[in-house]
Amino acid sequence: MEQNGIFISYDKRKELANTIRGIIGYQVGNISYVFYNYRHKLISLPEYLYPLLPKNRKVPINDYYVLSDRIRELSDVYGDGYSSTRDTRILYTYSGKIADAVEKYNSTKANIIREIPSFDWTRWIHDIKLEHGELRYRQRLKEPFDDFDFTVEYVPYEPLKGTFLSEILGEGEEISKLEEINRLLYRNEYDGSPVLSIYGMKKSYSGLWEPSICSIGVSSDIKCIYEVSLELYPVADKLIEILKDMENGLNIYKQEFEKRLKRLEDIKSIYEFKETVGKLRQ
Amino acid sequence: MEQNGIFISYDKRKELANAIQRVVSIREGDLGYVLKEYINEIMHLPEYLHPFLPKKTEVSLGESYILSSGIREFRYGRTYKLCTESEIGILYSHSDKIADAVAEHDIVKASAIREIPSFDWAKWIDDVIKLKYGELKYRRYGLLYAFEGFRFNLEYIPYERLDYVALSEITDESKNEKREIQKIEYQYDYTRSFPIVYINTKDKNGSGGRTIGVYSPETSVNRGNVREVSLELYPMADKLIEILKDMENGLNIYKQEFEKRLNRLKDITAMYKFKKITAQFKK
Repeated sequence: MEQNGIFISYDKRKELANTIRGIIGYQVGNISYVFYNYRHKLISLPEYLYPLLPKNRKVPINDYYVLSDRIRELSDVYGDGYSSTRDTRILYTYSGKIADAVEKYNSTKANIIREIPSFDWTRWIHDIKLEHGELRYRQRLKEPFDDFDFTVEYVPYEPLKGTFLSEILGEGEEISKLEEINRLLYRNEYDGSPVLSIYGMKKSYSGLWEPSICSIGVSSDIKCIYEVSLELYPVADKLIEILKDMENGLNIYKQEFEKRLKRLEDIKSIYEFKETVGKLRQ
Repeated sequence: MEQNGIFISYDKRKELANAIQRVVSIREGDLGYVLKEYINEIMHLPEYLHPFLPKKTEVSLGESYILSSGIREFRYGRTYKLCTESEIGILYSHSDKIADAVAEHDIVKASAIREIPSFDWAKWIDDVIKLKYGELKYRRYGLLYAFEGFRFNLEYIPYERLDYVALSEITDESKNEKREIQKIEYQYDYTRSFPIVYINTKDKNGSGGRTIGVYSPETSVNRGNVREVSLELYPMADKLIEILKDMENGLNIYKQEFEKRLNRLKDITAMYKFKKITAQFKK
């Protein structure tokens, strides 16, 4: 007698879990790793450029900031006593003016400062058309470096229709029902780990339609990825296809980041070398 | 090419879910339901027995308690009225002394008070019930509180070792230690008002293990829990259905014991309810 049920292939379930891990994984060679390094180098840049001007030299940048050995914020009450904690952003916003002031004493540093705006990914990241969908950069803030937050959205050309495993197995029970998957979001925030969110339309057991299907982060435990890969098993084939497509797109972004990361590393190396030589001379 | 995987039969998965559900259920006719009623009746007993003594009559029970219309606690020279939960504990611990004091004014009430210790299941629960595939044991907490803290714990221990094979283990790449089911624990705590079933495992080569908790399916929070657990434990569904049904049979034996005493408790409360209504009519 033929039995009513579903066959779960270990390999396919594992492939789906690995594909999810491939996107949110934090390992050498994937975007999360490169992005982490990129941001780290960028934030450390003002440290390497220090001092910006020789001692006792001051150049006002505008009503709020003064440039001396480093950037200082002017305060009505306390004068120019605060050192800025947002050096990178100020270097970015006033790069022309700061570079002009620094150039008189150090043209190499000045060139680097002029280069800083080119490290802002919002200037060179573009939407990518892929095989099964489109990867779009989502600009959230208008601040320089977009608050060091990197969010891209994968929108498949065709929404993925299917069912949850629990929907198939829980016949007659109160369960959530999957209508479609229409959006995948990769989010990597400063100080945070990457998170993959799957959006679409599902009907919760209370009867409400909800857009969020699940979120999985690198910090989520193995069990969470396992559970998601099992619950979405009925749409595994198509989901693996679009996740791999998304991963290809993320790799294109990764290459863009790698190119500029190399330049950031070169800058850092120059200053580290100078520092070492300086110490040896002393 | 033959694929490496597992076929999940809808019917068998559902049968396992139903077997779990029946054990954790709090529907009428289940142990969970009877326990809820039983504990509820006991907790309300002091309320029905009130007042214990006529107004202005006081009897000291010990250095800490005094019996008057209700039971009061002495603390730093001040008097506090006890809450029902503590009151039943005092009625239990000092039942004879309280009954002696009450007997002078109301013999029926005094008899009911003398009977209170017999409602403590720790006194009459048989330690072990031998079943077909395992034995069911009442687990004593070793607490000296009356009614063991209103907590009822049973352990089902299968006679034969049952290998623990969970879906996550066979479908996942991480190979865990080989484990076996050590026991299935049924826990009812009056503060929760629903039972929890724990499936405890232990490593075959060590003392480590893991516990899976299955909550009563009647609570909205844990609605999906039974379904998830029945999927996770699917690879050993056949054997597990067998032992869960066996455990259910054992739980029903305990249920009958509780029902017997619940009838007596209901008689006591019915009598006092009747008295109350009659008094109201007289007024």
